[in-house]
Amino acid sequence: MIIDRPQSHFIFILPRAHVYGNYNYINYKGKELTNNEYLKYWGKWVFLGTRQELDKLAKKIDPLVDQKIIPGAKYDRQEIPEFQIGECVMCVFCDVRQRDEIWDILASLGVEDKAWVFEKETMENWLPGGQLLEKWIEAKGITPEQAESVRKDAEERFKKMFEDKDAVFRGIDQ
Amino acid sequence: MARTGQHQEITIKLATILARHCQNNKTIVCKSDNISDIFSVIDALDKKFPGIKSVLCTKQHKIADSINIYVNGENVRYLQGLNTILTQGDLVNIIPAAAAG
Repeated sequence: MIIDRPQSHFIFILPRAHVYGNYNYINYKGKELTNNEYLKYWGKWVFLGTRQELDKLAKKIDPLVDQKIIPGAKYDRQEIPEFQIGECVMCVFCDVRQRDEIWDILASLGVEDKAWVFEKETMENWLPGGQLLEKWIEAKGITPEQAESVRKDAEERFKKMFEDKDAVFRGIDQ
Repeated sequence: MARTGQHQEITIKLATILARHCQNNKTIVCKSDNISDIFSVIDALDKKFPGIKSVLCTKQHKIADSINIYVNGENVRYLQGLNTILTQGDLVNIIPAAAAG
């Protein structure tokens, strides 16, 4: 189902069973991933487009997500000016061990841009010194003290989230 | 170093913001005997669209931090960077690194 909540920057496409039931879309062959497995295997196909293009694609992906063929996806409600990408970004999530199969589906839906990103890479970008966190801090024009506090929060959040490497990964609030 | 005598056809796809440096061409097919790796494909692009190389690479001949380059979906930073070997029919996607966030 497409989850379009105006208060969120992202529009999500998640299985109905995940939203309303006990199903966790972050899994491989039906088995939920541990924190360790999440960092090792979970990632996304990333591609860019206008909001209209991505809305159109989301409608094609949605039934496949509800059937649990594609695990899940999200895309930007609008461009993020701080990052100067110039387009909206869609991420189609899956385990690296099924990425070829998911790619074939995306290609059949007309996706041409092919870029695989591990979630670990994204998280590192949002840690202190990471390119995205530092760019975000710079664009916000906050004081050095505030910037330090943002860095500290990011580090603590990551540490807390992954401290038990064998626990089932429960997702990130976005 | 570029290998010679091997005619390569490589498709380069650029994000819109980068295509602006290539006369808004989002897809460019490079056909040359001298394309062997990412570095040589960027060189070929720069001959056609002067200036694009300085957007994609640093003066130290490294990929700019703000750029991600993928060959058939794989980020070349985890391969051999600019020395990543290309073969006939490869797809090269170049996007702003921030898109991977």
